[in-house]
Amino acid sequence: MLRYRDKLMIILLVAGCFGIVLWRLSTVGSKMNALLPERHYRFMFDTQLQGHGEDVTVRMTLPIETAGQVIRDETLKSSNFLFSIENASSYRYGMWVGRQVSGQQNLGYACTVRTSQVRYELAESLTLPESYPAEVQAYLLPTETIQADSEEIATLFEVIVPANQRGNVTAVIQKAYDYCHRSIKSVTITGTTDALTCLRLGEASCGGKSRLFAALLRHAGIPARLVGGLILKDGVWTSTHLWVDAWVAGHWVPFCVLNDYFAEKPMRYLVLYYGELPLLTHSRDVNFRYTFTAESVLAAPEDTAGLSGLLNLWGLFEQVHLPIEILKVILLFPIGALVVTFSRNILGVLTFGVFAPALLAVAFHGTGLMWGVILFLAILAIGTLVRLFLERFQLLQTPRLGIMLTVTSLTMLGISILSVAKGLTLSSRVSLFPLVIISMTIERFSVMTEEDGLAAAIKVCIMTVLVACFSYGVMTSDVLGAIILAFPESILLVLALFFIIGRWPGLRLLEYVRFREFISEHQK
Amino acid sequence: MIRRFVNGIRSLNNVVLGINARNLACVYPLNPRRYFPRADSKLLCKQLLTERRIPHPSTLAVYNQYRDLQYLQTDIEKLDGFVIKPERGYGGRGILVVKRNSERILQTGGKPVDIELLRTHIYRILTGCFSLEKVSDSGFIEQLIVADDTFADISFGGLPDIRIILYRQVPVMAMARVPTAESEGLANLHQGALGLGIDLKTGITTGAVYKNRLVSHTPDTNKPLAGIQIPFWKEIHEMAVRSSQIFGLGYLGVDIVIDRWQGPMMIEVNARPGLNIQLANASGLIPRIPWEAN
Repeated sequence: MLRYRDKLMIILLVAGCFGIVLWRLSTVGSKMNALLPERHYRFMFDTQLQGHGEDVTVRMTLPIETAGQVIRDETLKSSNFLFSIENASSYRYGMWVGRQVSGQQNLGYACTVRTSQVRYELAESLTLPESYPAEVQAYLLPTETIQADSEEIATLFEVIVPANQRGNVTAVIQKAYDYCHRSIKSVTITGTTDALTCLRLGEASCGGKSRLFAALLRHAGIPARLVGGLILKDGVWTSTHLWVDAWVAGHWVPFCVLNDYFAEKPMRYLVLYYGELPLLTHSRDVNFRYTFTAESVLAAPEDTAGLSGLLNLWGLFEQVHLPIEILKVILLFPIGALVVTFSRNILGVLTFGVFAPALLAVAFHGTGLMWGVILFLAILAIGTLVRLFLERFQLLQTPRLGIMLTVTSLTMLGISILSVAKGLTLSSRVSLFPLVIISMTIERFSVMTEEDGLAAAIKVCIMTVLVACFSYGVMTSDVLGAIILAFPESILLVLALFFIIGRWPGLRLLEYVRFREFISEHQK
Repeated sequence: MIRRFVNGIRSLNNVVLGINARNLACVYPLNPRRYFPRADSKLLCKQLLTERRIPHPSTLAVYNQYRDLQYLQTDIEKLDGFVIKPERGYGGRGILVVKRNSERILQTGGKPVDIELLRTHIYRILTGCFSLEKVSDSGFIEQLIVADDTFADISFGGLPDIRIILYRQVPVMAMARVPTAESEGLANLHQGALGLGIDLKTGITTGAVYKNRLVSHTPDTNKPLAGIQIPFWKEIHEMAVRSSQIFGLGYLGVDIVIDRWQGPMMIEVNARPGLNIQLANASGLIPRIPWEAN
């Protein structure tokens, strides 16, 4: 049913989309990164402790800024504790001090970090330099845990590195790395394992392996330092990590002998401190518990490649102070609407309200899919019961909807409070759950139950949730998110699809089901 | 096997009119939005029918506001039977049929009702409980139509009606909608009423659909559904064509009932008629519509 004007419109939209993309690409040239959003992490450190009237101190190494690591938007949860930061070149201690602490206390720290992948190619032969800068020399000395002067380390060094290669930095590092990575078994050990213990046991976790590696390098005359940090991931964890930086040709080059990163630091490694430091200390007997949490977030690219005006979309977005996650939702909402349109006009699925599923999908964005669906169904069930009760009063529509909205809000509040009491971290996320949409859905659900029966209403309800889940899947897709943020003009393609569906005259999938007897009729 | 299935799908697409095609090819090009109220509002529709002298049930009283309800008692005093309807109702919802028994006691569905209940019902109509957009509405009282005996064998209570779909004033398909016990007296296919396909030339039923399935006999009493002659077919046919000329709607469904004493009467007009009529006739609308009329 596409007429001339429809085709023209569709061609204009598609051509417009690709035209803008090509124009922007040609202007940016090879600096594609200026168009693509970056992945940052929102990092959180949370502790819980129980005071019994004594003074309590908690000390935690906070992320530091390095060449490839930027810290932003630091926030703090300190309750009635005094917070201070102790700054040094190789660490940053955050210190919470509380006087006569009693009862349960929650302390925390959060920040947004931009980490980056670091990778070096080592030249095949590098001679040991005559001398090192003063600040690096300290990392040649043996320490209590990195016994670089020990006989056993010297023997091991002679065994694994052939005599003719001992002057070649790259060869020494490679041999030492191979030994620590392959010959020392990886096991999970809590507590500190020094280099010698690691060597004697033949097994260690990241700490022991890194210390043995550092000891071998220092013995060979290559400065090496421990790096303490965390491996960021989406979720909650408690484990910490250690790896090694070696001073090669004027650079600190990272090595992780546990997870096999040679001259490389993956993006998700977060640097907290250099050297031998406790990552976290606290007063005893306070039933201390802690977690690290991170979630990846999208952010505007650092380097805009000199783009300006309309071409610098990121600059424009930044000017309107839109958080990039919100921006992503706004830009992906048309695609969610497209999913709903497809479900209705091509599949023929019935849902409550036209775009209610897409709006629900946005709400699920705040709560997570599982909690979103559970919350929605719970509130719908409670709301329907209240609606049934209200039926006795035969109220006018608007006041009745007002009551429903009140009930929905209170139910939401109640569930939030309950979830906090049960120790679930739901409370902060339900605030955006759209009350009005749910109230309207309850209304439609009730009317439909009355008019077409409960079975029909439940069927439509399930369809609504399914379409919402599908919209959610599309709207949270990383690939689509990156594409739409880098090329917002792809919305024009979505519009073209709306035009195509808008003029699509074919039978809907469910109409085939409804008229299926025709198929058998015609084939007789 | 797969090819047969694909062919089946393709031929279905060329025969059956779906909602997308109905809207794109029939409703949008032929039914200007501004004429929709003529079909959606029952009182406006009746006004147009009166002007053209097309028979329809007469309106006995209209209630626009709550205070109009004080006249209800006097309005119904002399009536032996009447129907309460919402102005902008749909799918037969909100319609209440009231009769007096031999002792002049008001009854609905065989059970006695008092005037308070009727007042409450009209009150609910006024609040918009039964209207299309669920906004406030008017209610009115209409003459009681008494069904003739055409479908007496197969119907259960309620009032059967005849739906004819017209494309540019040409009738293209017809069906009779007959209430069953399951549809609780409503002539609505969604609620389990029978839909009987009608041969347009003769006015004789050809078969039926019941709950989206083709059937040849009534589900429980096993009476044949094909071969029933609709009385006054010529008049009904003509009435449909004449009424289609006054609404300015190029694609519409008209609903006609047959009163025992007054014969065929137009009760309603629909600007977006449903598509189940194709099931009742076991044939699609696409080959029937005279597209070249464009």
